[in-house]
Amino acid sequence: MPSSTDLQLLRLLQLADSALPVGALVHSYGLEALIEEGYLTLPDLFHHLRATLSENLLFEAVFCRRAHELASQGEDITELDQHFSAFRLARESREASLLLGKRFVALVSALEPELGARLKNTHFALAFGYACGLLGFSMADTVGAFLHQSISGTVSVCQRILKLGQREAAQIIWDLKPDILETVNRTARYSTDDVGCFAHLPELASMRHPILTTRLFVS
Amino acid sequence: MTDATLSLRFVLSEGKTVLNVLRQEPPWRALRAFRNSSNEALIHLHNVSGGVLGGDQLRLDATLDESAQAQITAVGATRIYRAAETKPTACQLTRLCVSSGALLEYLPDTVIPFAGSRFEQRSEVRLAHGAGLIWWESVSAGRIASGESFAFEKLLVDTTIFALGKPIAKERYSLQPVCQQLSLPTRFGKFLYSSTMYVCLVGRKPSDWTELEHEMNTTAEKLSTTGAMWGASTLVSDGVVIRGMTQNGRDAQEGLTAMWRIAKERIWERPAVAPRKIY
Repeated sequence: MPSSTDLQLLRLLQLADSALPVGALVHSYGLEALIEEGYLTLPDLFHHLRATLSENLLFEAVFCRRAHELASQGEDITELDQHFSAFRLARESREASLLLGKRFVALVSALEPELGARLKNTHFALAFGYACGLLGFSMADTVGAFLHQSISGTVSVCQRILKLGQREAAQIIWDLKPDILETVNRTARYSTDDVGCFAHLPELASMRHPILTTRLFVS
Repeated sequence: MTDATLSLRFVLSEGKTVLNVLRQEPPWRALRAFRNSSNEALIHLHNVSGGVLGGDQLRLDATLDESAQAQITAVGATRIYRAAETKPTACQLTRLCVSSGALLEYLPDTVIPFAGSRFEQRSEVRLAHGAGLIWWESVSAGRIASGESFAFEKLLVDTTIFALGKPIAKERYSLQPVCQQLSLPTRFGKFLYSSTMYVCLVGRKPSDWTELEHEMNTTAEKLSTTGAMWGASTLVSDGVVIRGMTQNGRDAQEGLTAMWRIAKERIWERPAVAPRKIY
């Protein structure tokens, strides 16, 4: 019989699997347009991902962390979700994040029915943090798992658009782990009232994604 | 180093928008309101220092009473001067409040952060039901013509637009070229100007914004070249945002103006009347 901690670890591994059936694989959050329009190429990918961790994903991770705190305190996340939504200026990425959050909540509610009534449909970063808080996972594990899943998902998108092989993709994710840990640590230095991110170009690419002639991804 | 406030109130009197200057401390100077051909009050803001000096703490408050129509612009670019290390970070706090039936067009010129400058720009807009807003903003990498780009120390931008007390658009970023590689595709890429425009009318039905997004993206496609990239998106509610990244200031201004004209025609059904100046 596994200990509680072992059981939590296994559960977290499942929820943080980039293949979790919530539909994440069909969203690129503008990355497809960024690559299609020539702004991101394979040689730049590793630096791009590191910068993404230090800007966009740090931003999302701070909100994930706050959602985890609110869950631990038994508080509501509606207002936090409104603020997160307002920051997500590109419609397609905003809608994708909300849809994933909704599917994640539905899945967790099915897996743990007693949590269902306490979960709300929110953006994915918040839904993940809140559910993990309710499930008793530690803050650092939750944020680390969220970031790891986000990076794995992004690399998976790149594998389908760029000439990126499986071994190279695995190496990138492996090499980014110290940056993921550094980003987890950095979340403690910010609050949702002062964290920011400059991602105008990826955001602009997301705005332009609907007008691409050929698209592999929904966003 | 100055601590100064400019407080403006626009009221509708006998069918005309009238400007009341409630408080005006140097270096702020509001040049008198002209009436343009759409019966909007046009005012030019002037910083008599010529720009923002190290340590300046500037505050701009503007309130539009019910049904007032105002266009606020500046006499020129917002130059952020190099700051001595001993000076605190210069800051401008802008608070705009738009009442029901009123329309505020806030159209300042480009923010140019000089080498060695530190600046925080914090803005908050509150919109009532039926209130309208056209806001644009353009930030350059520095004094491009002098061969200077990303040589400033810090530029922080923090903007929130509320509709009926609920945030519909938020943006917060801090650029510090020493610790960020700004030429990465995550950030500026090959571009040197970043422009943003918000078009909001609280209570307008969502399908109107979807149509406007589509039309603006059609225009964005025409404006996008090797040196410029434009796009538009509906907000959470009550508006659209337009974003542009360009390599030069002229393309930034042309894009913003083109989108402004579309918004004014489609949402307010009247032409966009350019401020009395040459861009």
